[in-house]
Parts: sequence; structure tokens; C-alpha cells
Amino acid sequence: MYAYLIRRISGAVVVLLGISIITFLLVYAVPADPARMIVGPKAPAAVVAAVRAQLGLNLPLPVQYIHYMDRLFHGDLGTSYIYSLPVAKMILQRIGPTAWLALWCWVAELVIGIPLGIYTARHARHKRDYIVSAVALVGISLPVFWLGLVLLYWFGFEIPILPLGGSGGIQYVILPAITYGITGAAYYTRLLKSSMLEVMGQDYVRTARAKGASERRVTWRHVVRNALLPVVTFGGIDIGYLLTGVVLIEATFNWNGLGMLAYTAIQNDDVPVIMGTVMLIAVGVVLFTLLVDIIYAAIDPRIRYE
Amino acid sequence: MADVLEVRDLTIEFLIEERYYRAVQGVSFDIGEGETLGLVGESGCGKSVTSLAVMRLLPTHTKVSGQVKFRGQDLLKVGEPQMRQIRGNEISMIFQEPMTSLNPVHRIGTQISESLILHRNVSAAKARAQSIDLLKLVGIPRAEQIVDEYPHQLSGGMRQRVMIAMAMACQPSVLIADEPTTALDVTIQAQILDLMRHLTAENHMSTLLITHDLGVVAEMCDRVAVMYAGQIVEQGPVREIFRHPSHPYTVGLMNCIPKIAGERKRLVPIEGNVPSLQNMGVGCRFAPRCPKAMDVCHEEPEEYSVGTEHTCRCWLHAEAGVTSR
Repeated sequence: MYAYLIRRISGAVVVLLGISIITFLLVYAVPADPARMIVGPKAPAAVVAAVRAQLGLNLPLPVQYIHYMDRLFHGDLGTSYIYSLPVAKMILQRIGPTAWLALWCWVAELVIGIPLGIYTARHARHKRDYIVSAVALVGISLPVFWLGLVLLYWFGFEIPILPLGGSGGIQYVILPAITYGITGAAYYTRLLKSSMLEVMGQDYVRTARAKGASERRVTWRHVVRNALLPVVTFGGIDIGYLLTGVVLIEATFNWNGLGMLAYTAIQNDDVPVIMGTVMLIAVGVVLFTLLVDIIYAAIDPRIRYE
Repeated sequence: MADVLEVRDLTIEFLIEERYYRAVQGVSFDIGEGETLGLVGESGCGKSVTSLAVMRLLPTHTKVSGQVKFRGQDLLKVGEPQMRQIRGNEISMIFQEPMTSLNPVHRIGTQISESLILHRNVSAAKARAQSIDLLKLVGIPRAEQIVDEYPHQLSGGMRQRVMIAMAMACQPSVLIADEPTTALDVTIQAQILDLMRHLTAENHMSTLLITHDLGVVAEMCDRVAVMYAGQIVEQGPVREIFRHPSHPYTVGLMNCIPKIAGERKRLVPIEGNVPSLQNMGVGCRFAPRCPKAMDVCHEEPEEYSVGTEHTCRCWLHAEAGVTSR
């Protein structure tokens, strides 16, 4: 178990280092000159040169990278070109609202997707499966912004029981979460269904039936637990992605989170903010993948003792 | 000897591409108290399907007709909840693949306990204690530790012992063993067979032993039924069949076994292959491969008596008269 964990964690560290190099090089991939961005288009060349020297942009690349990493470890992600605010502070302010929204979006996906997956697997190739699968397909095909706007229109305007967008408590979360749940649940449904169908054909499921277990018991004790592995993988990657900002959802519901921050930063060539959010997204995805590996070991004993 | 299990005219049809095909036709056999019946045949002859039909574990969309009487009660007619009371309790089953027949995510003890919890209504703690006893019964060393281990930590032979422990948990009156030793090494095979013989004798269990290995039959069984292409072609006491095999197919099977004593001879294989379900001919199913085929073989033979409790489905023995069944 420990050997397994150490292997996974060291792998994650290597991936994070690689990502830090790529984000660092992002400054040079963007056409905008950082010094020019800071001092504005009308500043004289001497001022630009002074700012360049001050930022350390004339130093050799490896030295700059070391400085960058040093600042990173001290929580300094640079300063926004546009707002002249520390990037770390801008991100920190938005992590809370985004995590709050992401969590509920994810829960909505699972709550809709997993029961439907079990249901369609148990009624596979019957009328009930076809109907539910067709509905799920419609859900997956709906554009988030369209469904979001329709829901906003009906439940925020025609029947005004929920706020018309904006960020805040649970009443603000309901519509975005339902929107995301409906459009995202079908991935879980399909994944769980195909995984369950595969498990249902296994010899040990027949053994369970031969012991006299009921269909319900066979499904829950013997099939679902074995079928969950691919769903856990997907779920971990999904929430890693969600936590770092659901751009479309945030834009549709005017939710002031990381997605919105990244979205406006890209529009404004605000490189430090882009770097900061990219780094955060990467760390989020890597951490959740690591978490998935740990949950894996909890579900499947074969991995634990590998 | 009272018959514990009576199978009459069992016919099984599978739905393949919107048509029903007969995998098993008119199979009848009895197993008495404490008796072991061997069901022998090549792969695909319908042996396993027959055993699954007895347990009512065939997939839906399978047509099963005839009778499967367990202590006089027709299992094909009882409701599913009642059938669940019988499975793993009155009739239990051991499968061919010990490597895949245990659930990889549950501990050994949990899997053995499941039958006890389902049928004996015991507490988890008591079931665990009984599981340890069962593991000891099937000759597993360090049972107290193994009970908390997972299937992948055990060897094939050990897993098959666990399967046997699971099958024995509720002291069933009928044990169905579907090729229990096929996937194991020869030395382990002998140990497992020994264990099964010992346990079934001690508990007066009736056993249906499915195998393609005539050596196993000679070792384990009181009577044997030879299956070919979904029918029983010959049935009788083991000694009788080994001494006087009557059906050309049985004779063919015997000729495929290498003999240790006596002069060395070339093994004689049976020419051709088992016909597939989709192109099963009319008349005797073995006729296309039979060295003794005659004109009359285009018609379906019945079961004819060829000795004491010894029947054979072959025109060669028609003069002996149809059995009373």
C-alpha cells in the first residue's frame, strides 16, 4: 500500500514540475511584451527597458525559471497587468465560489447519472433501457448555455422562484447545478451501464446467483462495486476539471468564479493571471487524479497489494 | 434408494438471431441419495447448460421444458423467491473456473458467509466463525488468516477449495460440480477430487459431476451418462459402461484415452466435429461421424435397454427393445 502511494505521489510531483515549466514558458508563447503591457502603449522605450530589467526579463531563461519557482513556492503568482493586483489574491477570492458551484454541479451529475446507469444496465436491451438512454442522449446533446438560459427564463423570470443568475448561496446554485447535471449525467450513465454489463457476465456474478442471492443483492453487492472503477476514474478527473472553473456555466449564470477570471484574462492578454489559473487547473487535475488512485486502492484490493 | 433429483425430458432452447435452437433435447436422469452421477461429453454437448437449467440459472429468453424434480417438487415450476431458497441451500454448485468464480473485491470469509447469512439467518460474527470451520474442513491451512484475504492472494487449487467450502456451507443435499478440476494441475486435481469424494460421502450428498474426463468418472462416479450434441446417448453404472460400452460414441471416447498397461497403440480419434446448433441434422446426431452408420440412422433412435440399468440410444441395439421410461 505505501509503496503504491509513494509511486503515485512521486509521479504526481514529476507531472507538476513539467507543468510549471510549460506555464513558465507561456510568457514567451504569448505575443504581448510584459513590460509594454505594464507601462502602456505610449510609454517611452527607456521606461519599457527599465521595467524589463526590473522584472528580470533580461536574465537567462533557467535563472528566470528558478526565480519563478522561488516566487511560486512563496505564494507569489505575479501581478495582473490589467488590475495591478496580486494574481494569488485574485485567484484565492474566487476559489471559494467556484468550489461551491463545482461541488453541486458534480453532485447533480452523480445523482442523475448513477441511478440511471444502474437502471439501464438492469433493464438492458428492454424498452425501459431504450427510453432512458434516449432521454440521456438528449441531455448530453443540449448546449449548456441554451439549457441554462431556458431554465433561467422559466424559473427566474416566468415563475420567479430563483435568482436570475449571480453568485451566492444555495438558491443561486440550484439552476447551474441542474443545468450541468442534465448535460453531464449521461457520461456517467453510459460509463456505469457498459461497465455493469461487463461485470454481469462475469463468473463470480453467476456464483453469487448460485448461492441464492436475490437480483437486488447481486446488483448491489457483486456488480456495482466492481463496476464502479471506471466511474471513479472519470468522476475524479471530472471534479478536478470542475473545481478549476466551469467557464460556460459561470459565463451563462454570471457566476464570479475562476472560470470567469480565466475567461477575461485570456481576452485581455493578462498573462500572469492566465499563468496562475493554468497552474491551478493543472494542480487541481493532478491532485484529483492522485485522489482517484487512492480511492481505487480502497475499492479494489488487487491494486492495494500490487 | 430414493431419488433426490429426477430430471425428465429436459429440453433447452436458446434464442439466437430471433430463432430458437435446441441445445439440449429430452435429457432424463436420476440421482439417488448419496449417489454420484457423471455427466460426460465433449465441449458444447450441453452438459453445463443442463446443470444450469437444474439451478435455473440460464439467461432469460431461454426456453426450458420437461421436469426437474427435487425431492418430488418440480423446480421448473416454483417461483423465483422459492428457487432462491433452494439455490446454495438445498442444491449448490461448484464451477469450472476457480480463478474467476470468486468476487475479487470481497474477502474470502465474506463470500463464504454470504450463503450462511442468506439461508441460515446467522449473524455476521457467527457466519465468520463458521466460515473458518468450513475452510478447515476443505483443508485450507491458516484458515484464520485466509478468511480475511482476497481471492487474488490464493492459488487456483486453494480457490477451488474455497468454492467447495462455499458450496458446502449450508450442507446441501445435491452438489452440482461443473468440471471442478479442469482448470487445475494434475496433482491438485487429485487432491480436490479426493476432498469432494470424502465430503460427499460423509454428508450423504448426491452429486452431479460434469466432466469430459473419463478418468475422473472412473474415480468418482457410481453411474455415468454420456452426452452427445444435446442428448444422452448412453447411461448406466460405471463398471458396466467401462466394460461394455454400447454406443459407438462411447466406444470412440474410450479409444481416446491412452492406456498405461498393455501394448502401445495409436490413439483413435473420433473423426469430424460436433454439429453446431444451427445445422443439427435429422435422425441420430452421431450418425455423420459414426463408423457404424446404417440407413436406418436417418431416423431418430430411442433409448434401448442393453443391460441392467444400462440404456443406449443407438439403432445397433434396437432389437433389445425400448426401455420402459
